[in-house]
Amino acid sequence: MKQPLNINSNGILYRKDNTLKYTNKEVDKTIPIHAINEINCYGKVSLKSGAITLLQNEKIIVNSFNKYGHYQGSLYPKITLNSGTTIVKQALAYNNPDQRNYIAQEIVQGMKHNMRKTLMYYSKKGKNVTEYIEKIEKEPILNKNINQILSSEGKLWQHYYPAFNEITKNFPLKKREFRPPTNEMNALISFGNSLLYTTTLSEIYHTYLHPSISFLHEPRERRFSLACDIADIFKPIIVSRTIFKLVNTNMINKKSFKDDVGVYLTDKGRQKFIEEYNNKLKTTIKHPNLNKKVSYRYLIRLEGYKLIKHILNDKTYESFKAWW
Amino acid sequence: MINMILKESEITGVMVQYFKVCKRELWFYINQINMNYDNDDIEIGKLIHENSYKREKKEIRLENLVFDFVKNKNEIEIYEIKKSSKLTIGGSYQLYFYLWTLKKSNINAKGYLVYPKEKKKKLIELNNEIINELNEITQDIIEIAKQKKPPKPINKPYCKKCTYYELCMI
Repeated sequence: MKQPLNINSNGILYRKDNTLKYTNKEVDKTIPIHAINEINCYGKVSLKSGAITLLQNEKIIVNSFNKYGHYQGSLYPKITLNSGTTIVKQALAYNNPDQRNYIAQEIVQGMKHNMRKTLMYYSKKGKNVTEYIEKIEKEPILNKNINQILSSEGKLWQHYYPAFNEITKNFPLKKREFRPPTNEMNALISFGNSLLYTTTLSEIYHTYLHPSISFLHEPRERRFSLACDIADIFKPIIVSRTIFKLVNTNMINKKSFKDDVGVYLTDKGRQKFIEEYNNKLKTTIKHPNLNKKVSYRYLIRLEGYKLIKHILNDKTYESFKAWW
Repeated sequence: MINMILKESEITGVMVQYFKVCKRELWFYINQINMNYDNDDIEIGKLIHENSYKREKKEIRLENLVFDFVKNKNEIEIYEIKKSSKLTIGGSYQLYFYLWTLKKSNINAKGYLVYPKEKKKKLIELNNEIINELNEITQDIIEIAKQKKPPKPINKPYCKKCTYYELCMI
């Protein structure tokens, strides 16, 4: 199975014949290009033109993050999985309020279900989160128009995040804050969400969907907003679970953070996070429809396939709802 | 809404092959949704294709037809390289289609399906029954291209190895 390559140091990616190499003062190593599916750069990484060509030909996305772990952007290979029919129908589905609302509310339904599932898991482990589960269950998903759906989504996160204070006492969340995160838990959530965004973008690249045409989020946003749509469904199952594992087993503690213009993970802390996050993505579960084991990462790709089937009028979209 | 019009001259051997094996795959193929990436069997197939019959000139194009290679001794022989002889019906019809198209231009040719890995070779010859069937197949392909949504999945045993399996079953 192909793995993401994470580069935490500063260095240069270059091409030697048909091989990708990474070099800096300490190392000069060969990167097995057929064994990787994406490259995430957390240090200052320069790419030589030969390396860029090779990565584009091999269809490998390169994501870069700054020293705070903020996602900066991606080197996105040219779109080779190109189906005019799919893109036209994807755009038409966005433009048709009934279709768009259906998909958007289905995404929020999935998110809601997975929030509940995650909290139930910790409830069984003795965490006092019943109150939050009830709040989530009671929150209706209004779907007359996209603004109603978006406000339901916002409310669900408002019910969900305070439960974090019950699941771990180590890093109180208080309030969800972005750019810059003001405390440790906010830093973890932001970093985890940006990892999931890039993973989702890589998986969308391997479908025929256009990453800019989204349903829940507005395509006007600067980012590849379809990745934001799909990532939302998986945040509770992938990001939250990774965070709680890291924090509750003390793999990440006070020492894993630094204060700068906000609170951020140190290099070591970030590496631990990435390792645990990748372990989560590699975890497999038996899929009831496919009757075989699939990884969490592949579940994200399947979400893309389901959307294609919906927009092609093949099968009505049902968002991923953790069944275990 | 989009209405795909496929001309008869645009029909390819691969379309005829898909028609015999899976109409849903045919529809996806016509709509440029090709799932043949990221798959080891497909990679192996490509390697077999590249590494066998190296002395022959490969990929002979003739309008909408692509022959893997051609021999021209006493008569013209069209060759189609396949990885495995397990599912031959599609490959046979691909060749029938080539032979039939050539026949319409008064070229009589013979077809061979070859399996380099199994060291096997199968002769393919046209007959009237097949010609009638091909007439129907090409009309049916044009109809399938017009459909606004893909035909339903068939779920046959051979679906499990298909690169469209996840897209069909999810």
